[in-house]
Amino acid sequence: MRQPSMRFIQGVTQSGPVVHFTFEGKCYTGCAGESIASAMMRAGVVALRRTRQDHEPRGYYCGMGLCWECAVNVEGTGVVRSCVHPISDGLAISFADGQLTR
Amino acid sequence: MTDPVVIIGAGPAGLSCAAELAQAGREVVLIDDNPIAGGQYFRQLPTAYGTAPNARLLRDKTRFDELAKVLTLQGVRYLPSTIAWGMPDPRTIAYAGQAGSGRIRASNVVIATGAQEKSLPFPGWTLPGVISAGGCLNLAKAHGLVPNGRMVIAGNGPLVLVAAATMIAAGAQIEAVLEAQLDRKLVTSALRGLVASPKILATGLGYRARILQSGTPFKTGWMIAEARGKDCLQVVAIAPIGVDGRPVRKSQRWIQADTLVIGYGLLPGSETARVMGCRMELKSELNGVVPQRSAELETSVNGVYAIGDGAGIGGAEIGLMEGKIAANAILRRSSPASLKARYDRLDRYRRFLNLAYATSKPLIAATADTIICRCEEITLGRLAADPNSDGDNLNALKISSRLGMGRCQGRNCLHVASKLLGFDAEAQPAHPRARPPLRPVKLAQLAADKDAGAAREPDEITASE
Amino acid sequence: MKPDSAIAGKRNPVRKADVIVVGGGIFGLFCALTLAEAGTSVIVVDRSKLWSEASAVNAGSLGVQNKLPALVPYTLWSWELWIQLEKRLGVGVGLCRDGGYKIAMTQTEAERLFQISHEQEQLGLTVERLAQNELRTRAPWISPECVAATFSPDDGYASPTLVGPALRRTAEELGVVIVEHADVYAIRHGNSLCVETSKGEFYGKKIAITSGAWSAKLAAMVGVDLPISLDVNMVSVTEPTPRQVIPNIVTHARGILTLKQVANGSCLIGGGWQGIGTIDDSRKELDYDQLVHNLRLAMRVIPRLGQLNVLRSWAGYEGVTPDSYPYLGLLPGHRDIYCAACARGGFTLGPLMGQLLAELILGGCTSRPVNIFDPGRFSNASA
Repeated sequence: MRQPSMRFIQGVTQSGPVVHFTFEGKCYTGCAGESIASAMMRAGVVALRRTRQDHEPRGYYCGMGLCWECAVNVEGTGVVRSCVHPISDGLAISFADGQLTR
Repeated sequence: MTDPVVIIGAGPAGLSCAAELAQAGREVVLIDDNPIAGGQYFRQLPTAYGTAPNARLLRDKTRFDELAKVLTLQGVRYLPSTIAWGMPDPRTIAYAGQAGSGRIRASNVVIATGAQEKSLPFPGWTLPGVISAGGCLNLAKAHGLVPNGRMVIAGNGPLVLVAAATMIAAGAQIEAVLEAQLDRKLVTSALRGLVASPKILATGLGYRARILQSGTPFKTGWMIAEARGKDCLQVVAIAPIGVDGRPVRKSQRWIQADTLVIGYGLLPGSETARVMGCRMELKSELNGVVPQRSAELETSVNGVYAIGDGAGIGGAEIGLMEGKIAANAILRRSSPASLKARYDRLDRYRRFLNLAYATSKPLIAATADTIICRCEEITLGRLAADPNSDGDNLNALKISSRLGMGRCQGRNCLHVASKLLGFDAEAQPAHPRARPPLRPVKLAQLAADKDAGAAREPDEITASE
Repeated sequence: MKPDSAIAGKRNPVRKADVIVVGGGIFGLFCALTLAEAGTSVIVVDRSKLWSEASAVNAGSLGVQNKLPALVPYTLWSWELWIQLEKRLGVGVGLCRDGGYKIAMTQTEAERLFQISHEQEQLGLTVERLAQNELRTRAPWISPECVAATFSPDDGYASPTLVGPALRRTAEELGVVIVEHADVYAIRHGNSLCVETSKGEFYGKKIAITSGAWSAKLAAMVGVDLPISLDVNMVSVTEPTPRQVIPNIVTHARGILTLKQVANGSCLIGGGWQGIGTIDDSRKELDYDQLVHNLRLAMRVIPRLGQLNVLRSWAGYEGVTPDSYPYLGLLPGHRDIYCAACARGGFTLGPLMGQLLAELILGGCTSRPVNIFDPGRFSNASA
């Protein structure tokens, strides 16, 4: 098991409830108000996306909503930028990209 | 009744402009892509988070809290998580977002859309764990996070210092900090800063002192040559910069790293001004293509103003002042002489600083196999082999190679591709055209436009492809 | 005979060829390719970059169902060329022929749809007529708002952004000389024909005008009135998605919508909704209102499109003839200046139109009848 790639900075506190979500079918937890990218990186998921052609891993990059490297697919919503989209209880998240399945 | 002033972007510039206008009783609509106001400089933690008094964060919360009061003022309509996706004419803004979609008729438009980062592709720069300097700052500011493991921070410009200091404060383990520009070239800029803005200089020196105190190696004249790892970053090659602007590979060193921060400077985000038809110009002292502006910060399009980093890289202090200057112009009153004097001083300094960081040769670390377009996975070699890479029409290259056709809409790649392929920089202001939607928008949100005019269906005979 | 391109460097460009093709879009490049394959020397001149107008910016439909009945046979013949194209060019061009649905949203539309499909069927189209319940079973991804549809296995698409560069490469390999940014100032008769451009003069025995909507201007240079009006068609593209959103191309009974999902997973939305601009002011801008209606209609027909991010919308010129049939043949009053331009659905018909034009130039007769395409048909009427 990979160690978490990110941790909360000392002194940053979360008082909200714990939320549960899935990514590619696996269960994870996050804090209320936290972004999807934050929750995933704290859980050790660094490859937020796999490229369409070469299936290469991509992760959080620009952090300001421009690069879309952190794009994920949220069931019922579509593809969002995980660095700005907040996590919520019961979200089912999957890879945004891949070869078109016919 | 007068139409409201529409401000696009709720960063320092947009917020300060809104505050000035609202205090004078003018109606304002503030449209912002982000869920929380503040732009990048004042990025805030999620509202559900708390902070202990000793939290290891470097931030400017007091000033933001003061500034953000404007959002609650009467006469200010604030639309977060909303994209100003197009401008059918210079007085109409089409918006789409969380709170709905429609058009706003504006008496004036203020473009305050901020900066984007310059890419500097090198082999392995797409690996997870390689993040931009802005992305690094937002880890701390917007997410309250610090990376575990070893970090390397590299780049060219003040953001390198800010990122390093922020990460040191946050408790990161930093192996090296690399600035591409040579120290001796930066010393004069420090002296100029002493006159122009002692406060900004003090902050900068404070960052530098913090890095030195922590014992982190700080090298100038070095850059990243390559990053490697299986599925995520593991090692980084750093190298001194040769006279050709490329890393000297025979002098390179490999460093183990879990996170690599790259910050090779900022570019003005110019799409909104372009789509509104503002006359653009290339200004190296402002770090890129910017709208031409009058002393009152009005663009070539009557009634349309451009302020903040999107109109020329200068940072939050410049943005805060430009917001006030533009607001005064819209209110048809003159700005106080003291504001003008402070602005002129800082404006001269930022132009000087931008040039001071410019390296004598453009930095290049990409090889033929390096991905340039991250969305469409296009390498430099493939671009160079395209018949349209001959340097005269970036749009033609986009069509034939798919460069810039992905979700980033070319923001990561077009500027760097045109530089690497030798496109004429002077021709940049003219192309590529910005195309609506200015950011990716859900089709349902575009379709929900409540103010769209009547449909004119195509002639039935049409059999267009 | 090949032009002496091998010895011609950039400093000493080729100036003479058997045929000068004016306009490097799909008609021009297929004409040049066919001529070069037959050993004829060709220079293609283009006012800007090759493949940068209608051929490049259309949405790539290779539709048969959306063609006027008289054009159905031509479309099917053109498809024969499309099918061989990847072999002919040696690379993929994103070709797909999974068939397509043409949908009706009202009873009136359904009646017209079925009636036209009968006419098209008699001219060679393979087509099934589907009532609402059949459509629901066959294509549950299409909204129940659609009351009927026809399905034809003949419909498909290719990628304009792949076709252009591949055509260019093969043409150049065959010795075709390409001159870009050559704005044509005049066409003169002398010992041989001369095309005077911003990149100098080019001489040929014959000239082919394949300049799409710009063909009227060129024809006027040699005294021919070629009526062409201009459409400014808008197209939008979504992000690529690995999820199948549009399994088959979809068109509309009234021709006001085209939908397809291409190989990379992007969905393309068109239908001839009009943007703003004219050739003279070189504007081609979006009409935001009509764009929104185009997207709304798309979402009404395929609701799942709503979740996709739209990345770009654009507008492109399409030249249109008074009867919507293309021009193909000698210009009236000329023996050596030809024209092929402006088909409604020029992308689908492009390979055939280019080939037929080349046949005319080479031998004077064509493998398919072209009389209904006579460029003189509107001027002849009054003569």
